[in-house]
Formats: sequence, structure tokens, C-alpha cells
Amino acid sequence: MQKNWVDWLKQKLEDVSIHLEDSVLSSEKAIFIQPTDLLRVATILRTDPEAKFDFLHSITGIDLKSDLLAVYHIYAISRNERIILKVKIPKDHPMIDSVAHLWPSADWHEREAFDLVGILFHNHPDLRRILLPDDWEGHPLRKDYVPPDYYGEFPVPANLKDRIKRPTN
Amino acid sequence: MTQYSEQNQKYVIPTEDNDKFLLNLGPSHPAMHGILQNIVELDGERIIKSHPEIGYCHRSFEKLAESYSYNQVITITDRMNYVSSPANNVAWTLAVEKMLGIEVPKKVAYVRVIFMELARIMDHLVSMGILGVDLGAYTGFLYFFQQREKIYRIIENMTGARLTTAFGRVGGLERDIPKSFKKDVYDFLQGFPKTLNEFHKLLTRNRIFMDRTRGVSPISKERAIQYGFTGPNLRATGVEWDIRKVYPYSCYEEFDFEIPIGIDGDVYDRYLVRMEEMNQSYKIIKQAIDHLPDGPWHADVPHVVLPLKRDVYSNMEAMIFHFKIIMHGINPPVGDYYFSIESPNGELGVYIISDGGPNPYRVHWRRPCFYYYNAIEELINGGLIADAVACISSLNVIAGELDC
Repeated sequence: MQKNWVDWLKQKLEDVSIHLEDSVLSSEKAIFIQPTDLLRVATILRTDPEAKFDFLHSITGIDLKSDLLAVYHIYAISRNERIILKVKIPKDHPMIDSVAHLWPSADWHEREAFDLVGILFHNHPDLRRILLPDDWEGHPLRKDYVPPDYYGEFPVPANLKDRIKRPTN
Repeated sequence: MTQYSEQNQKYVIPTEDNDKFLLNLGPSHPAMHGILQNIVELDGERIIKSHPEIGYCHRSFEKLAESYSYNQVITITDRMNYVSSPANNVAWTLAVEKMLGIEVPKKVAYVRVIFMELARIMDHLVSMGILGVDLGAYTGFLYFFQQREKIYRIIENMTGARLTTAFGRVGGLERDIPKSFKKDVYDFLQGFPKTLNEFHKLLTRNRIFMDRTRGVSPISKERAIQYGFTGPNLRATGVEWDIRKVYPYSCYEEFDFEIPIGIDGDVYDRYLVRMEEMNQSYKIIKQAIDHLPDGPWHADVPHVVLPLKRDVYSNMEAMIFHFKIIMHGINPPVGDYYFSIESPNGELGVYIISDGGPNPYRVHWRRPCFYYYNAIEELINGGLIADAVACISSLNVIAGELDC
């Protein structure tokens, strides 16, 4: 990060709690924000003429066992600058705001994160499953996901079930 | 969560009042590249609205990777973009090497560059050959497949496989380059420019081809960036963005090459950009093979690279490392890491989260096709149905990568 975007954000949005967290899962410096602040932070990063982060690289949903985590990799393509936003989402109410109206590339990414990890995106234009069939139950990339015995009338092979279970040490 | 499943029925059903026609393109259709589905609402031959659906080729690679060791995941990446698998393999190995802090010898980096550029040529040969086929020009395709066969021979000599290459390992290559490697590459380089020229003569100034591609499904710079376009499809709109130049990896900063860019971002520009990229790849391979350094074929990291089998049987240390790698695996430090390369199709990113164990905690692939197919609705709406086919093949959407 050439410019200190954390300080810049703190200056612009005074009542938003923003901090750099050296958590267990981040070796690169990432900006942690609260789920309720995501939309405001994303909007200012996208629309402010000084920031203008116009390129959303990817949204990754992660299950941290206690919480869910959404990671946003955002670029400013004209300046080669990258910023990483991380949002911790409580598991009992996994809902955050959608950013699909800011970056169209977020549209399918949010559907993917909903499909596989089970994060709900508020105000998403069309939040359906994208990779799995519509009648699939559960979100496979959750760590507590148990593979089903049957999908419809097709039995799931036992060796396949063993393989997709994560081996615990 | 049932509140979201009620939208399944969202297509306009044709009635007597509206003379719309609902056409289901795919998932299995000769003009679709792999198993993609696109349900289009037609007014005559013009597309009013399209509803792209994906997921027919989903093999849950991200879930599977969580139970594989770091070297086993390489075999998964083969199956993503199966047209240019060496590039995917290298993306993964480089990402894990960055996490472990391994610096590979120069020879390895050069061989990887040669294979990645061969993969780029291979990918563009297929996609541009198929673009011609989709528009009714079958001949060029055969010219290109002749060259593709030569590349496959090089890859087969190196890895033992043609399509699912599993090229390279974390920390280096799988084995040393074969004796015939240099000769094979020079053989290919000798014949390639001629074929490229012949293809140019067949299509580039062909009146029918130009009429069918110029001004078809254009996208502006700004929209392409917002949609997350990368690679040749972004460069066709005029944005000079190439990971090889912006964040060089694997010694790319040592090679002299240019980034071709287009103007309009239509099918014809994508075609021209890809054609010129093949020329640039040819230049890179020539430089790399001319200056291919000697040296070991893996980094000196015994806790990551498996020792030779004959050492395992005769050498105590080698046996210990062999045992440790097989039983405990490679253990990158705790943390997350995002790494991306310029794959033939665009920016292929790997986001790995490690909990210090032998398997990744979570893997996320940033697949370039995912963004192209997201934008397909905007690109083909209002156009003719025959143009939609040209658009999809010029974007080079590959289902294996899209669905992952």
C-alpha cells in the first residue's frame, strides 16, 4: 500500500471502526471492518475521486469455525494499488450488504459465497445458488458440513464421502 | 433461506400477445464451449434478454483441495482450464512457494516461462481456431492444430501426459528436462511463424470474417474494468494491464516483450490481440530457450522436494526427508496469501489460507472466465443469435475453469 488508506478512511469516516488486525489468518496487512460499515467503506472506496478503487478482484467466503469471514481484494487499476478488506460475520446471522451495484463483478461472486459458504447478501439483485443445484441442502465449504447420504434418489458413494471429509489431526 | 429460491421461474413465457421466442442454448450444444447454458429470449433473430446459467461442470475443487496435500492439488489445477494446464500448474506451485519463501533456481524459472508461454500459444491456437470454426471458417483450425500437436509433443516428453500435465512440483520441477527438449522447442519455433502468417492470410483481412466480427459485442474500458475483465479481453478494450509487467513473477522482467492492446473491445479486437500475443509469446520462448541456464532442476529445500528414489534407498538423510514429506506433508506457515499470474485467459489468482497443516485450510481460485460469463448478458443483449456464438468463443469461456 503506497498510501496509508487506513488513516485516510479513518479521516473520511470518523464513526467507523477500522483497524489493521494481525489475526491468525492474515500475513498481509488487511483492513478489518464491521459488517454494518461495509457498504459505507466500499462506497467511499469506489466512488471517491481520490480513492477510485475500480476493480474488484475477488470475494472469498471463509468459514473460521467461530465466525464467517468475507475477504475483498480491491484494486485501483490505474495506480496498481491493492487493498484487502476483511469482514467478520457472525454465524447465527450471516448477513452483510451486497456491493454488486458498485462493482458488477461482485454479482456472481456473492452468489458463489452464498452458495458454498452460506453468507447472505442484503440487497443482492438475484441471490440464488450458482454452482450447485437449486435443491441442494447446506453449504459445502462450511467446516461442519456433513455430506448427504442421498442426493435425490442417487446414493452418494461412501469413498467419496470419506474423501470430502476433512481429516482432523 | 427459502426466501431466495422462489425466483426460479423468472423467464417470460411466450404467449399470443408477445411474439417472443424462448430458446435454450446448451448445456450441451455444439456452439457452446463446454457445458454452458444460456436461455435467451428472442424477437426474431435478435436477443432481447439472456439468462446465463453455470454449474453444470462443477466438481467442487475448492472443497476437494481442502483434503489434498499441497502437491496433490496440482492435479486439480489441470482440470480447470484444460486447454492450457501448464499455466494453472505453475500458478499453484508459485503461490505455495511464495508462502514457503522458496527461491527456485533460474533454470526452473526459465523452463516454467517456456511452458507457460507454450500454454498461452496453445490456448490462443484453440480459441482462435474455434472462433473461425464458429463463424464457418474451418480451414484455419486445421493449420493451428498441426502446431498444437507439436506443443503437445514437447509437453508429453516433459510430463508424460498431454492434457492433464501436472507440470512441476512445489520447489522445482518433477524431473530434469529431457535431452530432446531444446531440439523439440527449436523445431516448434521454426515452423510456427509460417503457420501464424498463413492463418493471418486466411482470416485477418477476410471480408466475411471482418463483417462478422467488427463491432460485434463491444465493451468499453470502464465497463470491462468494472466487470473484472483481465487478460486479452481487457487489453482488447485498450487497457494496458498485464500481470507479467505489473507484478513480474518467474523472471518475466528479464524478457523483452510488448503488450498488444486493442481499441474497441469487440470480437475482432480480441482476435487481433490474441494473434499478436502469440507472436510475443514466440519472442519470449526464443529468448528463454536461447539463454536457458544450466543448473539444478529444483531448489535446495530437502523438507519440500522429494528426494530421488535411489537416494532414499541408500542415503539416511534422504530417507528421513522422504518419510517426513510423505507422512507430514509440506506445512506452510499460518496465514493467507493471494498470488496471481497472467494465465492465457486472464488473471488466474490463487488465494490460499493455511492453518499450518499439510492441507490448505481454504483455497479460492480467481478464475478469469467467471467474470467474462458474468458480463455475457450485457455483451449479447440486443445482438443477433449468430453473434452471440462469436462473442462466447472470442471471450474464450471454458466451462472447466468457470465452474471449477
